[in-house]
Amino acid sequence: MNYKRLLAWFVIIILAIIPVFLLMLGKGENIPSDYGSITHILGQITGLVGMTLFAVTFILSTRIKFIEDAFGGLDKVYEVHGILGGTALILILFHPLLLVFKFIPESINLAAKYLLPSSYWSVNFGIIALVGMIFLIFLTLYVRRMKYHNWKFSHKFLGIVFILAILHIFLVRGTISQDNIFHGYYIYAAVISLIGLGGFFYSVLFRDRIAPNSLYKIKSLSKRGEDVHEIILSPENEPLRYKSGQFVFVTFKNKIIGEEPHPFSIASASNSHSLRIIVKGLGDFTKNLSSLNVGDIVRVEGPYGRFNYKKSGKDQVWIAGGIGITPFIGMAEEMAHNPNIKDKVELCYTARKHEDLICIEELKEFESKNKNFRVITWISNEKGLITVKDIENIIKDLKDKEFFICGPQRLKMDIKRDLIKRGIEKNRIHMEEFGFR
Amino acid sequence: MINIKTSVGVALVIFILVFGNIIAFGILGSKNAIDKNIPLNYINNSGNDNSLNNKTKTSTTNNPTPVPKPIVPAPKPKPTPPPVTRAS
Repeated sequence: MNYKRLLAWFVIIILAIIPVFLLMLGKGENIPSDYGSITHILGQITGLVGMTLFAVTFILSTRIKFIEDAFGGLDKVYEVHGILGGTALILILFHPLLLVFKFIPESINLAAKYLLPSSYWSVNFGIIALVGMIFLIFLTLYVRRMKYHNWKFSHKFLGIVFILAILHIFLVRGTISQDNIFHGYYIYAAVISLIGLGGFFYSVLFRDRIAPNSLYKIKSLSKRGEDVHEIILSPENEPLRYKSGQFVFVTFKNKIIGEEPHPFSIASASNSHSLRIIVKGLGDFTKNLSSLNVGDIVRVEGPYGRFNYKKSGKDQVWIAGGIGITPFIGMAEEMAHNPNIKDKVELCYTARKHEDLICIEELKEFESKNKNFRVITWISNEKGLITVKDIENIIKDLKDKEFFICGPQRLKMDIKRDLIKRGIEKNRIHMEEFGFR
Repeated sequence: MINIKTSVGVALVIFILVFGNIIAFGILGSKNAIDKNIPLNYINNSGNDNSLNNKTKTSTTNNPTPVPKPIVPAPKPKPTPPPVTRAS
């Protein structure tokens, strides 16, 4: 983990423990020790720490550059966004339960009263927010069949959930609503609320206008295999500046496909005039790509991501699974056209069948042009899933090499785990996350 | 790496079990239907404030929480006056 990412995590952890510190400061020497008071305080802490993490998730979804820099790529930012969102939900789930635990020894009926809606809207806001959060995060984590644009639309409602939670915090007869507005607890809750609201409204209202983007036109469309489309885009105005291996959010101005931005890896060399993306029909959106026409206008936002071989400076092993080859195609093209690059690169490209090896002729051509670049193919239907042992048998020496992995989640995790077992440091393993959902 | 999907799943199961038990036992264990207009004094900092029970309120805050007004029984209907009969 580099120091920027460590610093970013440090800031998140500090933000999360501030309410604990403020609560203890408010109690002074009168820290309660009885069961009822302890569960009550824990209930308050889980609520506020959960809300803090919830607010941070909105900031992470803004795609602001310095946040991307801190975490080493937008794909990593969204990974942290998911972890914090899930952790926030876990904490907030225990918030009402811990608050009612104090009633249970005397009367469970009192506890039940507390958990159910009443005529007090300050409490009801909290209940509605909790139910909404459970529902929306459940959709994100477990309902994988949901169409991407429906999921994305539903995910925006987490902003409404956050607003209801803020109303609950400030209106319910609790610590904050009874606190003086100049006291730490009140100020902290207000700051956290503003941070979260700022992130939410920026993402929903302003991000599409402010984020770096450019208009392109579809120059050519071709098939690169079963359900695999190659789309070449030519700029309508100033082209984007990008590095091979990065990705962009692409919005096709096509009524059949729908104008929803989707992330795709760039499969062309750095700063090429034309931009190439290669898409496999995996989801509901990508299956409709045959409806695209040459000349369609495309909005391209980005570039994002930090998946680039240049950050290494050592001999490298690239491991690609299936459609995960796309960022490597641009990187290989760049190496082929740049004789100054002296790093030795071995690309292990695995697919289920021979026909699934996308752009293999092109990669072989790059291999013939560059003596430092070698392509190794692995057909998993014939040889089984590729393992680090297989790679070691082919490449021989894995020591002092940098590893770049892109492909299905299982492949990435298995390879990473086995590399770490063989003593490869984590900071020499670079992975590109595929799905942001 | 933290498997957030599994962690959230486990937390949801615990939540549903605890929540379900509290509601089920809270409702089944009470002979009376739950009063929706519960006073909210219980949310203040006093861990053992049992004002939900409509006992004497013991707020720990500077701003005393108004005690809910007692439910005033509905006025009894006036007895119907006997029919006026013409004096015989």
